[in-house]
Amino acid sequence: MLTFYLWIKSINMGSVFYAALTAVFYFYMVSAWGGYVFITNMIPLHVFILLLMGRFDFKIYTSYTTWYALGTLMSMQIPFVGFLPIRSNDHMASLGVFGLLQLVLLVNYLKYTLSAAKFNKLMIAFGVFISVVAITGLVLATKLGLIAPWTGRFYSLWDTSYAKIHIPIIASVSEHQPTTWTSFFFDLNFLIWLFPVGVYLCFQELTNEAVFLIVFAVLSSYFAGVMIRLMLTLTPVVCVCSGLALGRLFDIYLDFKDVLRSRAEHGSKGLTEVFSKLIIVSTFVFYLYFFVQHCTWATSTAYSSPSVVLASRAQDGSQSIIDDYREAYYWLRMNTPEDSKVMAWWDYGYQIGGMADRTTFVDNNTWNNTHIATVGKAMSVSEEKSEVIMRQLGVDYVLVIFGGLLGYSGDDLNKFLWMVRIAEGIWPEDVNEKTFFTQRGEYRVDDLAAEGMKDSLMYKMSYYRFGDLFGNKDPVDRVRQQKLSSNYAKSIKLDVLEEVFTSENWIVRIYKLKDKDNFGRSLIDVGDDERKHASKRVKRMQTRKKPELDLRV
Amino acid sequence: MNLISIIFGVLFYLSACSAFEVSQTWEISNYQRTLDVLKSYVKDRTTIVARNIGSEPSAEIYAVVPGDRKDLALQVSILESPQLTAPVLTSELVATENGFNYYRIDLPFPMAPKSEIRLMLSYIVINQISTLVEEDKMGAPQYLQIHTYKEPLSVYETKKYQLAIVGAKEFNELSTKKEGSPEPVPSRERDTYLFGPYEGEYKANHFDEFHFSYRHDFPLPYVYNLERNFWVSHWSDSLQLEEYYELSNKAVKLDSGFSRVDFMNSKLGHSYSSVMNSIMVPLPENVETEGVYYTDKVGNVTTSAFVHGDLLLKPRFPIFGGWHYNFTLGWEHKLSEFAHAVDGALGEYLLKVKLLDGLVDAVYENVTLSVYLPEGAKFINATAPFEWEDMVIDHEYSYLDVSSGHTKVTFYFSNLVDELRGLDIIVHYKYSVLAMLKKPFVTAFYIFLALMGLYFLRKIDVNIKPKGYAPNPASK
Repeated sequence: MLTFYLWIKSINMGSVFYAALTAVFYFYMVSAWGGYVFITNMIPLHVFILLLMGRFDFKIYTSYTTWYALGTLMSMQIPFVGFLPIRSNDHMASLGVFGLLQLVLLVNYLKYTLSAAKFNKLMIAFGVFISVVAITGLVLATKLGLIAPWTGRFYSLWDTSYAKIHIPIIASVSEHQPTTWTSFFFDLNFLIWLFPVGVYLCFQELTNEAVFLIVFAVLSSYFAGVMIRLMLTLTPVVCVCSGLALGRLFDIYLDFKDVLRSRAEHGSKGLTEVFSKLIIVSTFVFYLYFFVQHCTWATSTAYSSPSVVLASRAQDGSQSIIDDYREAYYWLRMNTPEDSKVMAWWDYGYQIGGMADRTTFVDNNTWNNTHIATVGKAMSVSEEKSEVIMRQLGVDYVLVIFGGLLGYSGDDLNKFLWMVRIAEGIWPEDVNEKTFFTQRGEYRVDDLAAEGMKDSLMYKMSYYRFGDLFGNKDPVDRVRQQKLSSNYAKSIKLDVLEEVFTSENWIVRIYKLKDKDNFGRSLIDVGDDERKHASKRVKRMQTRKKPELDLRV
Repeated sequence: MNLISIIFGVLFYLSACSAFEVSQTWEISNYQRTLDVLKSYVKDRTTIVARNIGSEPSAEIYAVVPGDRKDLALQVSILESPQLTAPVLTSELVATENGFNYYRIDLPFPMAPKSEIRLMLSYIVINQISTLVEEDKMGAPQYLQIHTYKEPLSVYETKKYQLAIVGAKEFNELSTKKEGSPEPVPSRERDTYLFGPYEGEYKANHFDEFHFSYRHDFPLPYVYNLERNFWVSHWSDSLQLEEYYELSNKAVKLDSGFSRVDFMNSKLGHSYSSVMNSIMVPLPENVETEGVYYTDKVGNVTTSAFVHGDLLLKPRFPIFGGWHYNFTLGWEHKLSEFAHAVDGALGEYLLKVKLLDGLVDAVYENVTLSVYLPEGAKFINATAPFEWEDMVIDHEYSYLDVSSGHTKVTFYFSNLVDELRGLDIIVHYKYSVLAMLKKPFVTAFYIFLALMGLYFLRKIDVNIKPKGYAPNPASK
């Protein structure tokens, strides 16, 4: 916001100082936020529109060139950005506008010096030349790989379903889902209908600043509609526009000068006017008051609850805290070797790295899609295949999130389809999404679950020994509202992994990859053998018990 | 009067049973030893009645304590008879041979020949208890074992002895029985097993190995490192304590991974077992305690409660044998209840802090106790009930420190047990009014400097326009 404010100020004053300040704050945004590209495109677009409107002047030229030169140089200091500003398409617009500004300046200069006829001829030749050079340059550079091809993020901005089809990993993040209308209203409350009024007021004025606001409003509305997280960019302009609208409104309705004057002349008409004004004003004061209440409530309930600690209310209204994540992470930190490697879905990568202080295979900043797909594959294939992958990766521990006992819906089984899809994107021959659905196309986890589902490591890790918790009753998965039969739940076995920790509410389950068998047998055979013997022993014990019963008679 | 101090020939035998010999000027007429195994360490208390059989009065007597010296937590010898006002005797380690430590105890006055004294020797040896099996199933009863000695541990001949083992449930002797000799069978009263009293001739330096196991369904808390930091603030009249524990449980380990199902089904979370489900921390009595907090390396732990004025901590996870759990605990007292000005010396204070708070039953391997005196304070001296291993005085910067930082006095101890919690360390320091006033003044001065700096910065003209230049409106 400050960047934008300084930008507008510098445009108005044509001051190098403010443009430089803008660049400094732009640099701050670049270093702090990945969405700085938004600013990088906003400012050039504004300038471009001003150019189209014929508003070019030296103030704009001064501020833009200063900002662009300084801002770009500074942003290139950030390792992550590097040479992106001249290579990637995201930054093309600003570079283009920069070039365009120079051209416009040149043209203006020529216009003053040359005669009209010469100027026209020169313009045509020059225009053709420039456009040819620019287009061939762009195409060539793209072909040669100097300029990065259009990224997936760019596509998903234009076509919301693009990501779902081509890049499951982008679509798997809930923040990248399209925004729903309710969330617009939830986040913005009554500002949502004051916003268009503000934009309308901007159209009436059409000063440089108003144009900027309009551009900002249009762009961010679109983006906010595409991705829920880009709501972030919409809110500032909504606030400004609604502020404009409200300010105008109060200007009119709080103006009692007129009334006081007219009241001296004729009383009754003035009174109704005062009354109506007061009603409107008080309505809005009420709205504003309510808005503050709503915002406080929304931030406290929806936006400030950390996802690591879950708070719930017991029936008597007292707050109970479910701290399973930290419990398990702290266990990992305290009771595993320092160099152990933990395999978990990437969502928990940072949490494990930060809280458990252990190495993970994939985390929230993993750029390599194949890495993520490998972990996804290890989770979604059968135990034998998964063991091979895990041994190759050097896995020590595997961590899964299971919400079935508590009814925590953000667990791994609900994210499982994304893992399958991402893995399928790389190994379509090994993983197939269809095998995880039943014949009737249902996503089931109970006795009637699809074979692929029942075989997958993720499924087994989630439900391993889940049945034992319920005695002889049928265990219920509270997230998916499905009932497993007791016998079936008890028959879920896991041989290559050993359970080493499960948190209090079963949200986090940690398994350890067993060492290879000393005799070179496969771990699954060993497990089968043990079960056979165990069941024999159980049978023997059952038969042995019988005489005791007889003796009692 | 110390004429009888005989220079003893210290003979080094290679045999395991005798290594250290003294002149046989004493004879033990009664030897009573009590092994207390109720806690997670062994408390050994021996009462001896010694008789001077020499021809001259003697003022020193030797005692032997088994165990590795680095495991010895505490050794105190008390003279019970004849009655004295200060019965605690000084003892000095004179030799360590084959896992035995020989102490010379100086008597307050020489004892005449044929006279008797009654001495009590008590010591605590840590790391003496181990689990009978390394790993076991979850919820299985826990058996512990101890290697010690049955017959009198003495460098003198003994006539009569008795050994009592307190708190050993389901006692079971494991040492191989000697052939021929009638094996003493302990008489039992509840959980106390009593051997003897037996009369006979028990040779000096004869060590009869004794190995037994017993059931102990309690955890064996073991603190590898404890950092206790006291922060003294005269301005806010507060004494803050922050403790950092590196806790472990030396109980029997799980033979397989931890299974939550079994844990829930066996109700181990609510019964006495070798698992540490909660940690009881008694808060200091008779003083006001404020702002208690309990955190670990991933943030606040919400599961703590006050039970009858004591603090009940619930770790994030149950601590099984071999598991570790680090946590931080802290609270605040009023400084006026712990420090008072020394009469007659302006600005001098005596601060009394506890050596230990915290766990009810625990062994501490290393304890670092630091007292952060306010900035500008001068450390004068300190006293502790027993000697510290090391004391370091340095400075550490904290908030709003303007010159050298807080004066930090650090004491290092090792091998402590929770029984020492009542002991105090007294720190004598000087903190003048001038030092007290220095901080606010210096801070105010810096703020003043910053404001002045701002004022001068604003005076600088950074305009690049020439003076008197007016922007030309026709420059379009």
